[in-house]
Order: sequence, then C-alpha cells, then structure tokens
Amino acid sequence: MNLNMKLARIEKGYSQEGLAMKIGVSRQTILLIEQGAYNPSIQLCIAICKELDRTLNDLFWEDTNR
Amino acid sequence: MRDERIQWTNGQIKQQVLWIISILALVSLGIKLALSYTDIIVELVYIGLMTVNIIGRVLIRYNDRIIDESIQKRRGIFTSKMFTIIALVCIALYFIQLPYLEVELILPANLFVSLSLFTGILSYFMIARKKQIYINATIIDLPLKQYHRRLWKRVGILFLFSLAIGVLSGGIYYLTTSMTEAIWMTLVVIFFSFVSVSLEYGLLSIYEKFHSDEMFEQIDGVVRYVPRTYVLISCILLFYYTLKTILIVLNQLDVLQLLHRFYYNLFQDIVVLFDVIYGIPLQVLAFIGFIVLYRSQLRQPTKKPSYFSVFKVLALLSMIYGIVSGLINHILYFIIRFGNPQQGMQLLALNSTISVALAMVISFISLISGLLIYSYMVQNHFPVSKLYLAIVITSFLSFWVTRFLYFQFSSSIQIRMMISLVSSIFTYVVMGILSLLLIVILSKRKRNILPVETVDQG
Repeated sequence: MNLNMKLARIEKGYSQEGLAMKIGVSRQTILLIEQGAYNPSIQLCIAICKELDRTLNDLFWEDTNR
Repeated sequence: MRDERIQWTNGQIKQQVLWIISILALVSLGIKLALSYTDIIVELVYIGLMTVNIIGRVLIRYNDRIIDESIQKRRGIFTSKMFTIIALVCIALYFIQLPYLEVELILPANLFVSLSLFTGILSYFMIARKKQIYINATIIDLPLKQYHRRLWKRVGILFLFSLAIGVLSGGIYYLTTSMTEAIWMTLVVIFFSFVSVSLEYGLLSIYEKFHSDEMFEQIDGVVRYVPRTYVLISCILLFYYTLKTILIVLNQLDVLQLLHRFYYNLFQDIVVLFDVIYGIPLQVLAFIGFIVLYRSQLRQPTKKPSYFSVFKVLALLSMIYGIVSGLINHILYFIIRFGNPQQGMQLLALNSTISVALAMVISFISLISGLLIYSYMVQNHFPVSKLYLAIVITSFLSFWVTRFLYFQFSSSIQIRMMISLVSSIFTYVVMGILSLLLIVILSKRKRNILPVETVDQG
C-alpha cells in the first residue's frame, strides 16, 4: 500500500477521480498505485508529485526503518 | 487520455490475442490442407503478417542486452500497430474473396475468420480483466450517458468500416466478373458479421462499465443489493428463454404441422440447432451470474448464515444437470431424426420418466433454497423480499399444478401439449419477467458500508 500518496491526495482535497483527471490517467491507475499493485514510470511519479506538491522521496521512497 | 499503464498493457494483451489466433490459424490450415481445401489465403496471410510481427519484436531488442521498460514500451507500440494492420488486412481480404467462393448462407464461409472474430474479442476481454484494465479503458471513467454516446460512436465507425468493405468487395467483384448475384450474399454476410461483432462488443462494454462503476462505488462506501452486472446477465438469459419458448410454441402449433414435410423438418432442425449452439454457453453464463451475485453478497455487511456456501454447490450442480440433460436431449433427437427412430423413442420415454422424477426432487430443493434465501433477505432488511417469496411459492405451485393436470389428462395428447405450452410460457416468460423486475429493483437500491473518504475539490 502506498499510504503516503493516499494521505497526500486526501490532504490536498483530491478524490482518486479528481487526481486521475488532473494528470490524465484512469482512476483505476491511481487506485492500483495506491494499493501498491502498479509501479508507475518516473514520468508519472513526477506528474503525481507536482500535482500533490510533494517530492519523489515523500511519496515513493519506502523507508523500512521508519 | 494517454495512460501509460493502459498503453503498455494493451500491447501485451494484443500480443497474447495474436498468439491465440495464430493457434487457430495453424489448426485451420492443417485441417484444410488435410481435406484438400484450396480456400487458405486468409490463414496464409495471417501467418505471414504474424511472422513479420515476431521479427519486428526481435529486431527492437536486437542491439540491447537488457529488456528494460523502454524496450517493452517500444515493443508494445509496435505490436499494437501490427495488431491493427493484421485485423484490417485479414478481414478485408476475407470479404473481398467472399463473392468468389460458392458458399451457402447457413454456414460461415470461413470458420477460421468467424472463430477468430469471436475468440479475439472474448479473449481480449478476459485477458484485460485479468490484467486489471478494460477494453474501453480510455472512456471507462466517463459518466454513463457520455460513455454510451462514445460506445455508439465506436459501433457507428464499425458500421462505416463494414460498409466500406462491402463497397470494396462488391466493386472488385463487379469489375472482374460483371455479375451481381454474389454481391448481395456478401453484403448479407458482412451485415450479420457486423451485427454479431457489435452485439458481443456492446454487451461486454456495458458489463465492464457496470463492473468499473460498482468497484468504485464500493471504494466510496456504497454497495447495491444486487450488482447491475447480474441484471445484464439476467436480461440475456430471459431473452434466450423467451426466444426458446416462442420457438417451442411455434414448433408445436398445428399450422406448422400442415407445412410441407421438408419445411417442418427444417424448422425443427433450427430449433435444435439454436439450443445446441446457445444452450450450454447460457448454462455456464447462468452459473457465472450466480457467482457474481454470490460474491456481491460476500462484500456486503450482512449476516451470512452457516449454510450460505451450500448455494454455491447447488448452483454448480444445477449447471451440470442443465448441460447433461441438454446433451442427452440433443443425442436422442439425432438418434430419432437420423438413426433408429424406434430405439430413439424408447430411450426418449425412459429419459422423460427420469427427468420428471428429478424435476420433482429439484422442485423441493428449489423451494427449500428459496425459503432460506428469503429468510436471509428478511434478516438483512432487503427491500421487496415479499415479491421474492411470491415468486418462489408460485414457481413451486405452478410445477405441481402442471404435474397434477398432466396426471388428470393423461389420455389426451392434445390437452397435455396445451398444458406443456402454457406451463412453459408461465415458467420462462411470466416468472422470468417478474424475477427480472425484482432484480432491477434490488440493483437500484444501495446501502452504505463505509464513510466516504474524500470530497472532490479538484
């Protein structure tokens, strides 16, 4: 599960559908990224980060020690 | 929408569909060569283009040692283009050569092409479901009305494509032979191909839109008492059983028996052929419908009784019984029609006795199952549960009233035939429509399962 992305999206006030529309992908793609069932390309990661005002580290770096 | 996941996965799915059709092409080619058929040009062209596709995919990664994402992406784009080229070339070629072939309308001119069209769409849909994308992935998020508009637009484009192929095929044939008779036959075949492909594509598209919407409804904390995908499956089943009942009624009408023996036999063959082609797939569809319904209940916050999983076993047994009894009926029909009629009639009488005994047992099992489902519905506050109870009891009573009347009028074949007709119409059409009404009402009612997680401000 990518909880960081889900939390960032909710904080920003986006629904999955709203975020999907903003970055030009389907809602299911956002759902699968949040569920950890799809690994997005670096371009898509950057588009998501820009829309949610976060860095790549904030959303996609998995810190196992945390 | 340029969703990278959809683009990449589409390439993979198209490659897998091409492999499946390649097997069909090789089998078809093998059989035709063994039977000395000369109509093999579509298969040869398909295999040729498929070879180009494989060589192209190998060349894309020729200079690279590691297969990374960019190579996979390039291969996916190449396969998508090749898929379109192969489909267009093979379909156009098939219809252009069609007027030159001396074929009868009742059978497909080239079984390979008919099977490939059907299998291609179905396997595309099934692989796409497995890979978690939809065949209409780029428009699936649109509101229902817009989605349908875009869907009809696609069907319209398919119609224009069919029309263009028809004009091309007819034009080439007329220019080379100066004859027109075969052109009409080709246009009819093109029209039927268009209708069957559109119907298959349309039904699968409606199914996946319902599936997608209900998946997101559930994530948003709302579930329907009965999923709309189940309504769609029920509509198909009701349509089939209504059509079958109409055919049976027409078949048993006195006026048909006055027809010339040839036409009467032909009509009976059509009735049997209809059942042979659609009977078993629809038994499987009914089982799939049950699984859809069963899983939707598992997702709901309802109290599940201990006997809940027994329904799954009953549905499986019902499907097996439906398929086996259907097969036995077809075999007996062919024995009577083309083999030994006397032996066939004896076997038919034995089969009827066993079927009636089994139907009696099944009527009690259906009643008990129906009452258990009713108690589950009441316990979990389902709406219109009384209508469901009425359907269960009426079905049970109608079965036993029919049996009683059969027993009372055992000496008169005419009256028994009439009872059988009324009973078929009542069971399949009247009760079917009532059941569909119940399912539609339940599919429109929703219940909350979770608080809604976000409010869209984007």
